[in-house]
Amino acid sequence: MHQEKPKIGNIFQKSVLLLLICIFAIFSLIVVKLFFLQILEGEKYRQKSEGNRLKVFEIPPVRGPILDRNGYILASSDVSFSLYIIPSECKPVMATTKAIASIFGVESDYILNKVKKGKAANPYSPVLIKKGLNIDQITVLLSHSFELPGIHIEETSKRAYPLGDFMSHVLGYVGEVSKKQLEELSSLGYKMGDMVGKMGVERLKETTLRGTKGGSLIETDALGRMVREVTKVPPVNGETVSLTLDYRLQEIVEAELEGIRGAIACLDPKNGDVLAMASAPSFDPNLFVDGISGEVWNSLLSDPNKPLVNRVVSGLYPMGSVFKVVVAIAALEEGVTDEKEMVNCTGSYRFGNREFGCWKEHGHGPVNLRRALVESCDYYFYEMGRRLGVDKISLYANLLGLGSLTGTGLLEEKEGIVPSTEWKRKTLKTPWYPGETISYAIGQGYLAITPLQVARMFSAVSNGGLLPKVRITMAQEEENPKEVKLPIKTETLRVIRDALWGVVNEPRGTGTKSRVEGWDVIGKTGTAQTRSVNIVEKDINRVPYHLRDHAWFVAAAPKEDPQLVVVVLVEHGGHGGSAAAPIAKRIFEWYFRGNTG
Amino acid sequence: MKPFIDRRALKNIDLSLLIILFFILIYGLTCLYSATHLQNNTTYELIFKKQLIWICIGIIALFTLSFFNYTSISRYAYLIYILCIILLIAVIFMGKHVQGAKRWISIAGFTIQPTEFTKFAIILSLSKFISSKFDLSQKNLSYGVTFLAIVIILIPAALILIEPDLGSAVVVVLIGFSMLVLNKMKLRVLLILILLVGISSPLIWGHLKDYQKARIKTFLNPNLDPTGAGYHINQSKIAIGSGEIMGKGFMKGTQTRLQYLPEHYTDFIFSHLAEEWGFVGSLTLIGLYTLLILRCINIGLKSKDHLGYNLSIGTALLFFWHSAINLGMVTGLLPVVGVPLILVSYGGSSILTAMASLGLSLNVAMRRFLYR
Repeated sequence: MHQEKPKIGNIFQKSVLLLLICIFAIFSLIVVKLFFLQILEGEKYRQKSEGNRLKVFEIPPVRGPILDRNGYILASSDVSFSLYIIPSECKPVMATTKAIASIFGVESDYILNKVKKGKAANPYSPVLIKKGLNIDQITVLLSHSFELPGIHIEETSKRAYPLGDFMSHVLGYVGEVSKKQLEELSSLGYKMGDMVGKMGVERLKETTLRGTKGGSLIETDALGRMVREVTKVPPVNGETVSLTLDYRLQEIVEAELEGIRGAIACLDPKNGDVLAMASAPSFDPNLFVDGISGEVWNSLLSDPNKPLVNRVVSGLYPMGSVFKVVVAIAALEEGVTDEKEMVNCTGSYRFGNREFGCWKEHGHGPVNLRRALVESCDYYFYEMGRRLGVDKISLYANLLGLGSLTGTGLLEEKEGIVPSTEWKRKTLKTPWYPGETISYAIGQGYLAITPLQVARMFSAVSNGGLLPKVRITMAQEEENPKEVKLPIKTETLRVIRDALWGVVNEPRGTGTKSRVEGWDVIGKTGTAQTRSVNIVEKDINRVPYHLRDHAWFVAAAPKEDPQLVVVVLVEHGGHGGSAAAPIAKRIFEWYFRGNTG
Repeated sequence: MKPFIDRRALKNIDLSLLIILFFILIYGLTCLYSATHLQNNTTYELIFKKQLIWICIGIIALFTLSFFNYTSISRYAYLIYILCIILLIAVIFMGKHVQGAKRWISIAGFTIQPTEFTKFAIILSLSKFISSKFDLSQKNLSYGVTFLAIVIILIPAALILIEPDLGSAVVVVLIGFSMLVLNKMKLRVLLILILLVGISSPLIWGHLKDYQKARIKTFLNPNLDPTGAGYHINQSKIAIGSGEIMGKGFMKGTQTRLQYLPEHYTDFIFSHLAEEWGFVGSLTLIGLYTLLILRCINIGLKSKDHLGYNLSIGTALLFFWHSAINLGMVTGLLPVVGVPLILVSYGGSSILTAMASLGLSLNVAMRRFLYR
């Protein structure tokens, strides 16, 4: 039975060795590849698989309300309804989108494209079609929901300004975050379509009002269907912001601005609280909430009346005769004059070979500082300007807060310009001409300041030299309102206040139209040439004095214990004494009548 | 044919082969269980039960084929070969369409894949043909025998390509030609054949289906179309890579459980295994395959005759090429060609073929000391 063993093993040894090498090589290659995938790049793939599986759905917080100082609601968050479509359920897509388009009166392609785009991304994820549905649209959609498969109406919160255009410049508005903003804000968790404060307190207090987004981590399968909720973090709603403003005073102030272009600010001179702030014309911030149409936006931007600009903090104006208060303080402090010195106003002040006219053509005759302020004598201040020089005047202007931010923090606030020789050399690359000081002394020339700066300066003058930091919102924590004690003698300010009382209460005063029976109002009028901003025109006196003047009036009351500072600016209103002072008078009357019962 | 087994043969049963097979089957079933018992989805649960039944049938086939003497079995080699050819032709005319290809045929309620059986038929008939025509004293396989052997390989390969099933055709050709090389085919013939393939590949490219072209293009650049043709391979790599060293654990592979990984219980089951069992688990499977292949080669080398050598070497090649191409494909080393992972992927025909081939190897091992 047993034959010689055919040595199969020996015959095919070499061939089998080749096979073994081949097996070893190929399996090694696979093991090396697995080593790369699972060990060297394992972390990367682990993250990719997590990214596959986990999706984050944001839960937006409710934006905090904005209240006035008494708790009156100025901005709130309302329930809003938005239409969503789930692409996978929207069949037949053509007929459905056409029907929906007809409800909103838009092109059906517009809606079809949105659905198609969403379908490509994830057919199970709802696509936002329209925000802010009105009750009619909701009724129609719900009553046809059987014919409109895949539609889904969702409740969201939406910013609302119940009082419309009331206090709009202070409140500002919210709008969808722009692509440009997103570059800066994406690190703070903002995404396309999020709302962000774009102006006023909405912008200033964005972080407080916004709150923190919540989210739920959803595990989804390959088809995008939710499998389970992994974790859920509820949103933290935005906090309440209380303004220092009083809506009742604001109502009076806004009523005064009806039909004119101008600005009014009311400050509490003791602590710098803004009690009212209005700019006219105004706008309705509700326009922005659902996304403003390009047409409306453009018309707001191109409106020559500039309704979007808050003139109180962003409007830059020459100060006119109100600036004489600053020059008077400088003159007394620097000792270039005293209370008693008489200057003879001839009606025309000669400086070099040029004549600078006083507003009173035939002159005031001999005036001292007090009379010069009461009657707003230009001649007197030309002389003081000459004696002081531009830099001494500007030193006091800066001390009194002109040319710098007032402290509201509003991002749209402007600094303005208080000129000096150095400023001119730096920005205009030309030396200061002495003649420019003469017109500067009556608040013309390069000087450009905001109404709020004027109110702040006047607070310091009226309260005895404390320059307050202006506040627009109540402090979140106990924070000492930073006041600066000005290095100005109390006696100087007393002399000035007496003179300013005269402006309102003496027969020849320029501000007598703001006199309030029973209350000691102090104030100063101003009539500012608009041409002064035109720095190309070197000789200011060639421009007719009466042309397109802005009317200023700034006042405080009562004189001995000031409670309210009012600044009124009427653009192109003419004389401060006639256009602006009566407005201040009515505000004081309302305020003191209210406060005394 | 002697109906039953010799006592001495039973004594020589190769236990190590059976143990390795046992571990592969258990490992494979564990993975298949996890791959078919998904979260919120019961549609695949029947698959596991079906596979269990197929494995039982496979075990019966394994032992049946080892009990009868392999020399007797080889008498039916050409009959089986011709039957397979008929089935392959039948598939082309009456097969079920799946993804642009006809690969399945329904017989008596069973859906079978003749392609898989062809692999068994090729091993059997090539072994029989070569061992009967090749005198062991010869230095090389003669040209005549080589030519006829190539014809035996290429007829079914061509039919499979028509289906089209590129992967299986490649596997059939690789097994066949490897067997020729392992039977001292002249190397110059191999070189000429490689040259011929090189020249004709542009022609083959022209005859490929669009989806096959897309897969090859995707293989060359997987990021070309990550949601389309590249989706399979990208998700497969994510599954494998995310397993890292130790894996995510049994029933915890998110790529499969959430159905990101396509064909997760058939061709891409290795990706699922690698996700749940990590690098360690992947190496374990490759190790088991290596042991099985080496065991079959060893049986072949120790076989008492040339037929036994060829049968066992053929089985080793079936396992080697199948695992190499599948692993190469799911790891992104090769284009996606649709080759199952032998003994692990779901599929009755594939299981049956693998078990039957192992039956032949076991048969050879049992009878290495028996001479008629």
